[in-house]
Amino acid sequence: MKTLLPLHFAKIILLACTCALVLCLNVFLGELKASDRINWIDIFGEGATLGLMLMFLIFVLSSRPRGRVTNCLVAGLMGFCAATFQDVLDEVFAIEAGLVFDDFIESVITPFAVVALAYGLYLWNQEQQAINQRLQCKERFYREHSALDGVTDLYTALYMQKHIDRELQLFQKHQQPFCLMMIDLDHFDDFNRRYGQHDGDRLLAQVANLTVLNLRPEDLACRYAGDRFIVLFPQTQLVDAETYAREIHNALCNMAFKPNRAARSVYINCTYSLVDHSASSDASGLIAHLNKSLEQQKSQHKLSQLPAINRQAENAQQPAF
Amino acid sequence: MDDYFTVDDKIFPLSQMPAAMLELAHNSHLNTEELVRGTGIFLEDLSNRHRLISGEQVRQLITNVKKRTLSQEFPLRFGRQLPYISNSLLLQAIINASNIRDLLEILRDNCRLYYPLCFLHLVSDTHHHYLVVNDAVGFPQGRAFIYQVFISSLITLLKNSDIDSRQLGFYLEQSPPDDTAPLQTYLGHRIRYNAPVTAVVIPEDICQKPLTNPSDWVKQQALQQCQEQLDSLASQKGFLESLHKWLLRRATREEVTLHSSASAFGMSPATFKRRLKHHHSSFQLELDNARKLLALSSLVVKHMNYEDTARILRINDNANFRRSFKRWTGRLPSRLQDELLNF
Repeated sequence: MKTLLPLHFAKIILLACTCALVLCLNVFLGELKASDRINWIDIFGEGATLGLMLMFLIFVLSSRPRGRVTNCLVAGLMGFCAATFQDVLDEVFAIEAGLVFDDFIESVITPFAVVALAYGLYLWNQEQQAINQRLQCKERFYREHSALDGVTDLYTALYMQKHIDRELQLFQKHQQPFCLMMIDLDHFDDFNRRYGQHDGDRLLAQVANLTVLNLRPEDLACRYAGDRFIVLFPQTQLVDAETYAREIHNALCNMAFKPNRAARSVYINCTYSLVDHSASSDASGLIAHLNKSLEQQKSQHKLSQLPAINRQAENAQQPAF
Repeated sequence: MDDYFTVDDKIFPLSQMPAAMLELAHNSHLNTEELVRGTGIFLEDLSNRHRLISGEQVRQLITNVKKRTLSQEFPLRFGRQLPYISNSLLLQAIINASNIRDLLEILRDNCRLYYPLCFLHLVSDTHHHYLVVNDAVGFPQGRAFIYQVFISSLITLLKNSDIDSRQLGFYLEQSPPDDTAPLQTYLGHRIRYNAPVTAVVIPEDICQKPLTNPSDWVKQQALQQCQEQLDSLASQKGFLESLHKWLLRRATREEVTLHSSASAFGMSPATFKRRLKHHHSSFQLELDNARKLLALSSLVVKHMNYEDTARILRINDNANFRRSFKRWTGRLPSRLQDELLNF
């Protein structure tokens, strides 16, 4: 992702000017201490705090767009930077008695910085909750950006595997049922060849969005790989999951996708398989079961398929290969 | 024996495979300027049809792609594109192959035009055909990547021929990745990880199935033109492929040494060793690799017993053979035979 630093050019200039002003005040109004009077350990300790503040500020500026939350965070951090910088310079310059600018910078600016930062953090928390709301059905319980899929903005199979493990534990403790659905787009290779990879990626993103739109807030959709998606229905019996799966299938089959290189809309078909918690006692076994069931359906070329529902508690067979 | 290319020879047209890889990376939101850093490739040259780059540059490009992409799907996605970005005449010949065996033979004979990062062996027994994929540029760190690209492209070709790829089996030298979902989705569930070789296993009934509407005449014309193109190239094989094939021929007939190999390639042992090192290999590695392939071919494909296999490899003692086999493959012959034959 590109850095957002160029958006904050004015703030960076303001930070540089503030630091320059503090430095100039110290240079012109203070007197350089003799080296034997300088406490290097203090400089190191206060310098480390300044470094931490600057680092925090740079990460905020490079990762956040403009806005109220950013302004408050930056104002607070800038105040802290100025105060800490003055603290460091205090160790190097001796200020004459009667001059109070150093106390002003350290003691008066800091409370304002605390207020600005606290308000910024409060707004940030509000903003995060709004973002979490938008991530409904795409994220549950924990965040791991390295498992995000770049094409669909869903998480990958690894993330789903962790959730299945958790659901299996819940099932063992509280007998909470759950179901898994796997969706595979039919003839996706043909689609890619005909309309190109770019439209293929757009199609995957739209399938992901439409799937998420058809889920309940507690469900979770992930991209398995290629043209396969996997959906978790927690606290759901198979008979209900079957209804939800059919609804998702209907929604996908009625989606009018508009490729860039075609005058008319394209309708896709998809195959899906469904299993409940009883199909296997571990996550990889459940996923293997889903895959197997899906492949059986695809090989039968039942394009207007009915879901394969497997209630058997047998363990997934290892491939014979 | 000097008609081979080394990893420093500029043989890869930049506007084909490398350009397509960069385009896919760009579409996957990767920064192409970062990807070409340190490769000596300039983005403005991508459309220049006459610009060639070396295997070393391709290796660096793949290293950069691997470093910057989090998804393990990239090589598999790229492989799906590969048939359409390589030689169009070759694609014409492939489309008009009479059956899958014919298609595989065309690929094996023209791999230099199709995907010069690999070279292929095709061996068969009564039930299966094994397409063994080998590294032509000496790239151990990126071997899984280049093999996955080729295998994914082969699956695309077979799917175009209405072949159900779920019936194929895959031996992969790599360990199972953290996320096996991409490999399972693209290759199916018949994958054997940590195998001694990378190979695609195609059942006999699929191989002999006639393909729809092939034109033998068009195929012959296309193949003839492919051959002309191959003949016009300065080198048709890579250094590692030449050495590998030379070792396969000689290892059964005589005691092959570093000196005899170096002199067959017309260079001093020191230069020979240096060249192998430049390909991230060594003479012992290459010799072991050739002998491993011969042993596997005898045991798994020809179903020979240990004594005969040991004799072919010029190993007198059965215990010695078992020890050597374990060193080459990590497993004893009996165990590996069971694993590989158990379809």
